[in-house]
Amino acid sequence: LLFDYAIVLLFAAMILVYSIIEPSSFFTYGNLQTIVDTQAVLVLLALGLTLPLVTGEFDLSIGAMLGFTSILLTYLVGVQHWNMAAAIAVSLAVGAAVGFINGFFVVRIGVGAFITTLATGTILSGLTIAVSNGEILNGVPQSLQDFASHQFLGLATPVYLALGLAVVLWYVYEHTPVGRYLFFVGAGRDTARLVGLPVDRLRWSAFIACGLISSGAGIIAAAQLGGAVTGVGESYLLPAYAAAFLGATTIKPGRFNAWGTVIALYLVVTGTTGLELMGVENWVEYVFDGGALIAAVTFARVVSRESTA
Amino acid sequence: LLASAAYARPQTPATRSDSADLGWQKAKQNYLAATKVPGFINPGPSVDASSLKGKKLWIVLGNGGVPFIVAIANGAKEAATALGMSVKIVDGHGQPANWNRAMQQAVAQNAAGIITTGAPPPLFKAQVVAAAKKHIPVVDTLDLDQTDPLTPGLFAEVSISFAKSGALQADYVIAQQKGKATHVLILSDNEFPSEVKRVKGMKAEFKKLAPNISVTVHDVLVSKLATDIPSVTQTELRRDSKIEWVLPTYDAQAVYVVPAIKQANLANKVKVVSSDNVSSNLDWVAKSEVQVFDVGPPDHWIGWAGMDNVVRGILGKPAVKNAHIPLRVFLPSNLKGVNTSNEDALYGAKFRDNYKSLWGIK
Repeated sequence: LLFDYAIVLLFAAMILVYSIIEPSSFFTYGNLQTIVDTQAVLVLLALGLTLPLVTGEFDLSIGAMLGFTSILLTYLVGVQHWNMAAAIAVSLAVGAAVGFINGFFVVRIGVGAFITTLATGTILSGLTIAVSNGEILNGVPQSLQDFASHQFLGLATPVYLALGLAVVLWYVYEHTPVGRYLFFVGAGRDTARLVGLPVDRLRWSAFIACGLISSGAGIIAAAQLGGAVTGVGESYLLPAYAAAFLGATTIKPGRFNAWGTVIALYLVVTGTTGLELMGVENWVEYVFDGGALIAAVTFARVVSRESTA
Repeated sequence: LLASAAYARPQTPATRSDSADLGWQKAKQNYLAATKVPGFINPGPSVDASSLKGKKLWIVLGNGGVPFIVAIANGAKEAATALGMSVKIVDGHGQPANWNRAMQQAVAQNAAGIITTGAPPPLFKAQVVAAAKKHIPVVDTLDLDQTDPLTPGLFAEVSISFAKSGALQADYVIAQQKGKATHVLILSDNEFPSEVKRVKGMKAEFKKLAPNISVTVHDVLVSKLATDIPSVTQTELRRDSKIEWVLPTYDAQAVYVVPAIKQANLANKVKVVSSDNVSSNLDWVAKSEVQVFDVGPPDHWIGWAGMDNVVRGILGKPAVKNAHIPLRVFLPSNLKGVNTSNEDALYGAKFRDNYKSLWGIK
């Protein structure tokens, strides 16, 4: 049990230490809002990423997908003056379509997921520039911006969307046959096939769902900004992977899981936010980011050995 | 890791001084002088450019996905076309290896002149030297500060004073404070030498004209703008509740700063003063939507100025050291009814005729 919750304990210890050092600025509701609200898009993206990861696949197109969708939505409503609902529907459909294409090449053709999604991500980056002409686009309707900034109990709507997705994925992974099948496929594709699981369909579906969620994250990103910036997606890619892999060391160690991903992401963000509040030089935050990843995974590993000894 | 907190950022002391009482008036003069439509200052003697017809100009883009780079290239292309030259544009896609390859090709194919933009010449030194040996003038635009020493072999650098750009940002804040102390957050990006100079310009101006204004600097990598700026902005504002001004070093940072301030419900207290004059940011300025000031140079004009130096290089004339690229300040007051996506509406269009006259083609 200690092993399962090692990262959570580390997270709690970090909060305690920062609260003692910076009681007036760290342990406040305002700081909670900052930490939680500003990372909602990244949480959505990282959670979506766990779907291909649990099936043993990679999706490197998620960042570009996010960027393309945010530009596409802003272009459709801001420049082409589309109806907002139609623009959102098209943006989500594009996300699902790209996931479908990824799945087609990986599952049907047999091209590696790494190279396939790298290629589709690169294509999406090019299309992003084509749509935006490399410019910052404005024009997201105020109603969508209001939706993204609307607060309930002090937290913005995207936070609840992210938490809602975490609940859904947790339920799927832990309490449905499909969730179990996904893990079986990830653990051993051939074995899963031998016992009669629809391996290809599950892998393909994971790509489609990931594309859909990535495009949803792009819509939320555009709503938060009130516009879209070319190249925005790339900066989300590595943090999303870091959160998913660090998340696989907690709650359900050794398996990608929803709550582990959420906790891992907020562990790193809380760490850097605390350092910022203490006024440290910014390079220390990057050192912390990397150090926290190694330390947390090592800690979980050591606790694991202790518990099995 | 927490022990590393010992590396605390320095802040300038917030003390009242007489220089602050007088400095704000000087600061106001400085930024107001830059609010008018800029005039053309003749960069050098007239030349006869009629012999350039039919020659080929190469333009090497650092990254064709960056709007200001494309705009400068478009300006240069427009100027070259006016001279009857043909133009070859190569997109380096942000990769120094591509910049080197493009430069090699330009030299191998005997380009008459080369303009680079968004690709700092120190990263392809050998190719610049190779071009110089074949008497191909290489002119870089807006990558380095106007005052920086030239990379060996480079014919000319057409740029602005980034320090002055930063100083104008500081001037606006100082003038609005009218001698009152306040706290300012500067977001820097030390990956780019020109941005380092811009931040130095801000800090020097605050120190000179308003030493009672406390300045905090936070560096953010360009690759992490989307993920870091929102939390950095909100956290810094929470850490120091006296911060009333945020000065991003360029508009691409401000794009994330403004929503972060709104999200923190601080839009009525904290204002943004940025630089680059990107259209979407100017739209915010026009509406005083958190961002209330912007300053920047005209990209097309820079392209023409780069071509002016290429012309001089091809004709064997000395380079123009200072192209007199203007910096224009935009406030809500001088953006009324202005189409912010039209550069000519922002800076005027007369510079084209001025350059044509200078080259003897009009």
